[in-house]
Amino acid sequence: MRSLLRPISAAVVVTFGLAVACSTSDPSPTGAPIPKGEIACDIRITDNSVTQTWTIEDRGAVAKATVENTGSAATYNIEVKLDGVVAFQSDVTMSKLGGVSNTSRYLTPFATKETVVDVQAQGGSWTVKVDGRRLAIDTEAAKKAPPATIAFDDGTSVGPIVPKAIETRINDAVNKLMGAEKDARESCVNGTAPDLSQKGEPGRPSSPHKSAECNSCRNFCGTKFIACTAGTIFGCWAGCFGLAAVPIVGAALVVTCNVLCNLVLQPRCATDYSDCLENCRNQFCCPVSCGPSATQCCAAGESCLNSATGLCCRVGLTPCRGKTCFDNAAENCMPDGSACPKEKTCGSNCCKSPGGGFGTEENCVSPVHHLCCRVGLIACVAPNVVGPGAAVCCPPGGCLPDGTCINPNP
Amino acid sequence: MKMLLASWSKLRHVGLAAPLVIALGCGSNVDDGTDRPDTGVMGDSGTNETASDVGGDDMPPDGAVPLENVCDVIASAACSSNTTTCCTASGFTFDEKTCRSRQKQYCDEQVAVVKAGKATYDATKIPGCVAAWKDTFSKCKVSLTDELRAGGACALVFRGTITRGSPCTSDGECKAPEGGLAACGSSKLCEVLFYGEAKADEPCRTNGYQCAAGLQCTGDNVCKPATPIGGACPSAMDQSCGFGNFCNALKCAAGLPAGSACGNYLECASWQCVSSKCSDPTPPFANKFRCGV
Repeated sequence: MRSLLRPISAAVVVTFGLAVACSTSDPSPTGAPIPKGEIACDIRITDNSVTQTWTIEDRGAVAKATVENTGSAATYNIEVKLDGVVAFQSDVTMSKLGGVSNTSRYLTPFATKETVVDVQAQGGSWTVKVDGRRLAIDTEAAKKAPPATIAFDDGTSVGPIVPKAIETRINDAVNKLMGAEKDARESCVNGTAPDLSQKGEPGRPSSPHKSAECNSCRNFCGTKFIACTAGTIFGCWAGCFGLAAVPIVGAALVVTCNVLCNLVLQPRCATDYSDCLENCRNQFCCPVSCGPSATQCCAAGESCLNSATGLCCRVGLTPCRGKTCFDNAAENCMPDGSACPKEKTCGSNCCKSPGGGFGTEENCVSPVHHLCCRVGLIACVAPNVVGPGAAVCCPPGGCLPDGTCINPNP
Repeated sequence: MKMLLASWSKLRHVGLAAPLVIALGCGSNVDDGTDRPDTGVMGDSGTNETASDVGGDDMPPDGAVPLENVCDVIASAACSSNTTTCCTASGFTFDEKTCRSRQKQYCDEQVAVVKAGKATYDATKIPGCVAAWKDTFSKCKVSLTDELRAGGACALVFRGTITRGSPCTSDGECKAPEGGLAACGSSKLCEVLFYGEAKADEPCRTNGYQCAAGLQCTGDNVCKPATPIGGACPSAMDQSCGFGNFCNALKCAAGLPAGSACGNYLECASWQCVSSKCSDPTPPFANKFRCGV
């Protein structure tokens, strides 16, 4: 038995290596051109999840995959039918922290009887059950030589449970689906990739998380994640399918190989997705955080005026004491949080700019006294007194020596 | 004329009653709607024009402008073709919509004061105000005296009831002398900016530029001819040299031009010394606010 498994072990390791590379290479074991099937995809993206369903049909073979990502967990369901008969089903849930739960059903096209394989993996440990019977698998050993560890806890081989060899017809059909799947993934990916060289547009509204750019970016991440997930699944399939030809335990080896392959590759998809979303957030969705809420953000180039209100200053303006935004080149930030044109700044006061009507403008007639006067009035200053309140505005010629105005209406 | 009537028709549709308050001329001087520069009643010529000349597109033919619509009329005058020309000449892009919106907002505040019982409204003074706006923008570079006189014309439309030195919250509440201008100062007390134009031998207050050009307001509060340039004067703060001139080394001299260093406002031709420099005696009346920038 040991001598029988040795070459199988080598085959699995080699195949596993191929599976890793499958995301960038032709997944077809034969390398022959694969006819494209009919592809349909449906992507739905909400605030909290991305769901994509795609279907591939090719001469009676139908593969349907539904993938959903909620940010903290991803689930996917794959179903393969041949001639209208379900041949394989797999439900996988992956958490962002690396936990994997995979329940796969290998149906009669694969096995003489339905076989359910349940895999639970968390961190470095994982368990595999076939029809409820636990396989005795040592994680580290399995990674190095999985087939050598394939046996139930009672020592019996899994081979007799799935004795049927996978038919060539099925093998060919699935291979075609795998080839078509790559096209399906590419055709379904849309949205705007985060561009780290571009920091946004000036004047954009201060709800960047609702912007078209943010949605497009998240859309891109979602579909890329789905593409990665689906590519991994089918890449693993492609890499592991050759094991089906191994006598007796072939189907079990396919299962084991798949589990290991996905275990390694799927977290990478999740990590890439998380990184992609983070880039979207930094670039489009929340370039400048402005408050405790995740949606309290300012657009690129804007600055957070007040994190309590979530208000932002548009590009080019600077926050002034959390109350107003001011143009640093032309205005001053006043002690009360208002902005004042530099030419109108008069100590701690801001003289009025021209408004509607006539005579509405004020001039700074005495900066040391912080005194603004309407046009036509002059500063009347009390002798030897400085600071606010020591001067008043009077008509020309109407200033008394003590710093008060002559009463023009005696 | 068609334009005028069409605009008026629009106003009527927003609920104008038609009390006959102002009798306006309807002769050949009626606004034909062209963009020719306006000449107003405040012009140098000093000639009065018919109200229809200065009424603008929003002036009703019968001159009756109810309180609800006065701001449309004034905004039209403040944002007319003259405004466009002046703004462009002063380097500003004119935005009529924003201009009207701003002027209307300021005017609406005054209407609110009237409705609150703190000011009165006199529709008969609208033509004078409209003319003042158009004339001022027609001149484009306007002396302080001209601006204050124009303001005095408009101050007759809304007249506040709060007297000088009393607490206020807005300009519209402050009572201006006839033809003068009042404002709610930074200390939130009503102050008089301008006491109205006075001719020779007419009473004047202390305001040096109250008297017409070439006159001075004497110590006994009467406008008299100013001391000519080179004539003797008693002190640096004396105003006997008249508006725009000053007493330099006990002789009347022309005021200093814009940008000159100044120790007191009287040294400047503008009688405005801001940040120790003389202001422009005829600064552009156009600015960002008035041009709707």
